[in-house]
Amino acid sequence: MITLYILGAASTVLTLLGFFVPARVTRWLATGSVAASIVYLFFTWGQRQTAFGGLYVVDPISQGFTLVALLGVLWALLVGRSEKWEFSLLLLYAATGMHFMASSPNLPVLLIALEVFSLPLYVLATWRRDEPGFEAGLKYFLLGALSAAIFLYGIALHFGATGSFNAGVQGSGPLYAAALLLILGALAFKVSLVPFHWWTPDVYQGSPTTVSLMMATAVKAAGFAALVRVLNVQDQGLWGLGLGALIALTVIFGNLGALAQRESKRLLAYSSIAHAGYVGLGLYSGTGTAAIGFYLLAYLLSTGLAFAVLAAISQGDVPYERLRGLLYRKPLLGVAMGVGLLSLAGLPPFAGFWGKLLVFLEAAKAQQWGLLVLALLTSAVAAYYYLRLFNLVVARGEATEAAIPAPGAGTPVLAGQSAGGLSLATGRLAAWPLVIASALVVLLGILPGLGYRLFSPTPFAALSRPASTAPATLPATFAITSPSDGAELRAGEFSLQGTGRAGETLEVWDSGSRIAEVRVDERGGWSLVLPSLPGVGEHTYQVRRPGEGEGPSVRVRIVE
Amino acid sequence: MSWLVVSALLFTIGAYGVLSRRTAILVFLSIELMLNAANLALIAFARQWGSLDAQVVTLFVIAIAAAEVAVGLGLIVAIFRRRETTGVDELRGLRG
Amino acid sequence: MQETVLLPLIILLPLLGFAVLGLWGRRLPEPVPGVVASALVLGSLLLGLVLLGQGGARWAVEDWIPGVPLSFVLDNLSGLMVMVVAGVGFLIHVYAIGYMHSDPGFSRFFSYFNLFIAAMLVLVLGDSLPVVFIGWEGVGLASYLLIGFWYTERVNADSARKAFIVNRIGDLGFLLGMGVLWAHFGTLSISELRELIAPEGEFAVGINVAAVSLAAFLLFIGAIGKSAQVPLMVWLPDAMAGPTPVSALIHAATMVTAGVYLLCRNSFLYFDLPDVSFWVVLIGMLTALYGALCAFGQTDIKRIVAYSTLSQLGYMFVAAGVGAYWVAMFHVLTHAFFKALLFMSSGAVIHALGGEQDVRKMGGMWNYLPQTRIHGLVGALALGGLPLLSGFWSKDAILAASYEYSALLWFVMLITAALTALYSMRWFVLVFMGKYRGHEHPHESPAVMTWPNHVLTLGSLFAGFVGLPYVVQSENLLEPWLNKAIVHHEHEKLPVLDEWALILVSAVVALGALYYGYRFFQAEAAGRLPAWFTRFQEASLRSFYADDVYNALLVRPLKSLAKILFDADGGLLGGFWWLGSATGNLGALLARLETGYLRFYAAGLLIAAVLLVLVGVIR
Repeated sequence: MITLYILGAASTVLTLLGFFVPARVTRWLATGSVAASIVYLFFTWGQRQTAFGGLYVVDPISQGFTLVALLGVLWALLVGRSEKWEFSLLLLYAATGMHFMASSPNLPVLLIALEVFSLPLYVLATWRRDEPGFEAGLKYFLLGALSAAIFLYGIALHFGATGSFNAGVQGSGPLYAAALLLILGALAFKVSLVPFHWWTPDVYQGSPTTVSLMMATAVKAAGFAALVRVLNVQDQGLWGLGLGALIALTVIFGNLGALAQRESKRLLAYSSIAHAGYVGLGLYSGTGTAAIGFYLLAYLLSTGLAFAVLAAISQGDVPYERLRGLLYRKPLLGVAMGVGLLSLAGLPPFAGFWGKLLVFLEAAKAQQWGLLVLALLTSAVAAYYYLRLFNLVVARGEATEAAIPAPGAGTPVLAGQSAGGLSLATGRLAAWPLVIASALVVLLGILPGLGYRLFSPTPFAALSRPASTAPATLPATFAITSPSDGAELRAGEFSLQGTGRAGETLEVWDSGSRIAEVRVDERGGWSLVLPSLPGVGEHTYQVRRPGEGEGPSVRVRIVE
Repeated sequence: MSWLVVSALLFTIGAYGVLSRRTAILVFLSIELMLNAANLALIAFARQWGSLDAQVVTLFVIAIAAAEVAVGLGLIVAIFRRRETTGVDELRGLRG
Repeated sequence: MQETVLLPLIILLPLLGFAVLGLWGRRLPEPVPGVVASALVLGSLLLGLVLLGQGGARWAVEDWIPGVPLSFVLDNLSGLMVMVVAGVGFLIHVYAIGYMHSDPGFSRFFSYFNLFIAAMLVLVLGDSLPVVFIGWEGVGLASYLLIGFWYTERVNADSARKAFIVNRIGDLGFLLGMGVLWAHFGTLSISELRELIAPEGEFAVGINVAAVSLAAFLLFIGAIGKSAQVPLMVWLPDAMAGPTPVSALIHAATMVTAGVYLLCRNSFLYFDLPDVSFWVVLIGMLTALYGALCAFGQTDIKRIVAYSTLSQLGYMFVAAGVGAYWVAMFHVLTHAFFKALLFMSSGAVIHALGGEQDVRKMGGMWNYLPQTRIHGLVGALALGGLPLLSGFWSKDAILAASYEYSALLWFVMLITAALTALYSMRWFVLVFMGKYRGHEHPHESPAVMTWPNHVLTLGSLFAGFVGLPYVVQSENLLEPWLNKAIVHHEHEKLPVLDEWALILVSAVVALGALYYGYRFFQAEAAGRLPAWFTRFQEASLRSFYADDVYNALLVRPLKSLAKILFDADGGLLGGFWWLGSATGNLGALLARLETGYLRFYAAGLLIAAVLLVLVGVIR
């Protein structure tokens, strides 16, 4: 909640204050408020909260994806120094919208949040104020508005089919299917899944590199947060095939298209398409939030490194040849670029490797073997273009003359750079994020559990043990032993019995509501006489450890 | 039900407009048409479910559309100043 | 057992040494890198002893890799190994300061040496199999680097590669074993596995014994590779190409015992699997016999000791196979002392003779090397099992344990013990007795080399007294202390009379063989040997044609296969090029879809949306 207040208040105040104070101050205040939000997020990590009648929900999804999004914005704020104060302000607006996008299960609110962060981005895309900039901005804007219209129509149909505006409500019928898939398509546009990706390469290339950095990282996080909520419906048949087609097309198109590129920013745009496909793999199992979160964090750090390095070279195009020998000319940039590329390629011991592994595991859990094989094959292709760039970075030799435009003359792209007032990212402020992000990529590569735990309410709850182990042999499990699952009982008083770890307290739930707490005795057993007589019908009794969302359950039918 | 048909028709017309118009303004206008088609559907469903929520959402959508217009027209005007045209087919500097 | 962050510090100290010496070692003047490296290992040893004195320690990062903790544990079992690794390791470090004097790679040597200690400590302290595996590979890497330390000579580099490649076979077994355990138990933490498989000192009810057997067997294959057991023994003798301190530390005292340690650490897998344990016994017995026989023909002073190492490792495997895990660790301890001593005495002799390693050009060193002669004598006698020395007690414990397993096994091991006594005397006589047969001017080593040997001499003399048989001391120091950390079957002790009889028999056999060997090999020194023995020596020198068998059965067929594959590869490579360019072309084609036309994009988007909805609705 405070996160929202900080961002919202800062946006409002800075909008007015910006007219009176120097641009530098606005930038500092904006940076400070985003940083404060991140700090606050960490302090309240894991706490849940609901506000505005359920329109705003703070839960692991909200926290995890907001963290990734805000980190992306923060990075853009640190790297992109503009003479105009509106630049930082627009980034701050976008941050607010993204946080809301990650924190609402309500579809119209999602639409509003989407617009709140998209509109500033349309403007930011044109920031270079040159031909490619305007082209990128207009394409992004028109296609974005089109996808918003599709989103809205999806929402309307969703309401028509279920009478509810909440994401994740189970419905049925063709109307519901159409609604779900329209929403899927509109969100696929934001995270650039093929064939809704058309804008991505053009816009990334035409925008200032700092802005591309944010589009590639923060926007994806916000979009996937919404996707996780929207696709949180039981009946996978409704969207499984559609999403599968999108992912298959995405990993093929993104990776193969990248092979043909000769310009680094456009390459990263294709790579961002490909990565969106891998992240999508995590949506199938229904337990993949942590895997997706980790992937996005790893991707934020790695692609952020690559973009930040490009931003330090130029806000415009960076042909491959300009990177030749970067390691020797600018060691810090070279190392950061190298780490970023290797992590993007998914090589151990970098964070990207674990990200890939985790989402692939989720896909395997959901038995999406075809997609998995395709993803593996295409990530082999991906290694080729990342390593080609990596080889250039570590290659001996100077960048060829043709690749470096003479100062003053320059291509139209570079000439427009000063007009936009965005200076190149140099100096300590741009260097520190590179150092920290490189270190984090390596750290998460060596200790992936640290990052994974951030996104998972219970560490590794998502990685269930293989089924072949009999639960009874595992230490410290708990279960209901009586009555047995599917039993029919005569109405009246009865008791539940079960096992657990000696001394611990368990919660007993009846069909989603908590009815009692029991304490496990020294011999690892417990028994509970139900506090109130259960009504006739079907009951699902479940035991949970306090604070956990799931536990073993039995289904019992009470008859007259 | 017939309102839904009208709404779907309007949406299709909007989509057709997006594809057939060559100036940015008209493309944008067609997209607004699609938004309003969705609004119409929302109102129709609001009647069907007897709920006011959808009508409130419609008001919000109108506000969103206004915001889009503000940003979009600004963009288009800026482009017009620089290029003397708003034809979308001429914007092909970025591709491949 | 306390949770403490000091535990990983034990590993970090030598690792720090590796990093510092590797990066800046070349700028340091000569003795400094050696002193730094030794001091860090001493630090590790002291820290380990302090923690062990406080009742052990553990430390873990729970979520290292999803599902696998990064955990270390210092219990009595790993504590013993830490003492051996860091303790004997420290002595050998000090010795190497003298031995590597004025070598151009002085600092590089100590940087590798510290890397080895760090990796070995990871192996020993690791409480989850992947961590152990990291150490396992780390010591393999350090061993590779150190065998090929004088890499400018082709033979050395080849030996290093041979060691590395042969070890790969074993590592495959280790990896597959981990895979089986993960698939069936969903964890690779050793203490968790122990809880799951053998919670109360016996197999848990309903456990999949076939899976446990398979995993145990695969891990055993890993141990075979690392500990140079039959049939993966061929790399160890060649590993003697490294500097002598390397042979002493890695290929005698510590790394090669890692296989034994692995079996003992995972004793909860093996203790109730007679089938797998039978294979352990069989492999160990064959190796013990084979190593002993091979030692007779060698002419290189270090290769004699290397084959005796093979043989002694076989003893340890026998002990582990018959279920006497503490005895195996006991022999690891005593063997570390006397075998390191033997190697370092050999090193002192080599040092004295200016690099000469051929025993035929030695002899008479008794008169030249007043201190080393004592070291060599004690080492040889301990190896030969002279009663009351350390080797006697541990070997006797193994013999007693094998007697309980089967009388035949006992008999074979007894014969091997006799052979051991014989060849240890051969080594001693050829090097120290008779007249000097070379043309150098032997000189005693400096103090920095003799003092570590003094300490090891003490160890070889007295280390055996921590594990006396029960008839001598009703409860010795080592057995109950180690058994706290080992899962094993308690069994009936042998009757007092039998036990005494066994001790007597092995004492008599050892004494007899030592005396006979002392007399017999003076004949070899003088060049007067019976003809049958010369023939036997020729075969033994070529290690009974093991390398030839490998060449005929594996290397040559593989080479021709490689040739065929290489030729096929040309075609295949063409195919790959084609595939690569086809993929690239496809990519270029796809990229051309990005036409830049806004209305094309909008059309694509809308059509996609319509198709998506159609798929969903029609389905």
